[in-house]
Amino acid sequence: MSDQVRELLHPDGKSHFADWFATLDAMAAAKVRVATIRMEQGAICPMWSGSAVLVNTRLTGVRVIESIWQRTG
Amino acid sequence: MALTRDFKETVAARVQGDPAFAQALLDEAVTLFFNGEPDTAKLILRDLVNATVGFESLAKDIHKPAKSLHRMLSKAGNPTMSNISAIFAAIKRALHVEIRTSVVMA
Repeated sequence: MSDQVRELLHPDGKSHFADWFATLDAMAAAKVRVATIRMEQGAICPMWSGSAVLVNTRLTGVRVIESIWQRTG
Repeated sequence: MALTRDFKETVAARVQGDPAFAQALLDEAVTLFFNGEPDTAKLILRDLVNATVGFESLAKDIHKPAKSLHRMLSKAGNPTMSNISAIFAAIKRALHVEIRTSVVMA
C-alpha cells in the first residue's frame, strides 16, 4: 500500500492545511493536488507552506508524520 | 476524535464547490497524460470521477463494470486508449467543459 497524504486535525477539529488550501487560487490548488499525488507515489516535493501529514500505511497501524513544508523559490 | 482526515475529501469538496478548480485539475490531468506522467494523471482522474459523476454512474455511462473502472484508475491500473478516452469524455460532460490542446515548441 502506498503512502497517503492526510490532513492533521488540531484539537479544535480544524485542519490548518485545509484552511491554507482554501486560500489558494484554482490553478495553485490544482498544482498542490498534483504534488500530493506525486508525494504519495514516492516523490518528495517541498513546494509550499502549510502543514500536512504523510501517512505510511505499510507499517503496523498508521504512522503519522507531521511535516512542515517550506516554500521554495 | 479523529487525528487526521484524508486530503482527498478536501479535494472532492472543492471540486464540487469550485468549477475553476475542477477545470484546473482536468487541465493538469491532460497535461500529465501527454507529458509522460500517466500514473499521476490517472489518480487526478480518479479524484474527478469520485467528486463528479461517481464510479457507478460512469460505469453505466461507458458500459464497463464499476470494479474495472476503479482498477483502471488505480496506481496499478492500465486502461486502454478507448477507456481513457471515454473517461475523459465523461468528466468533460460532467464539468461542462471542452478540452482543446495545442502543440508548441519546447
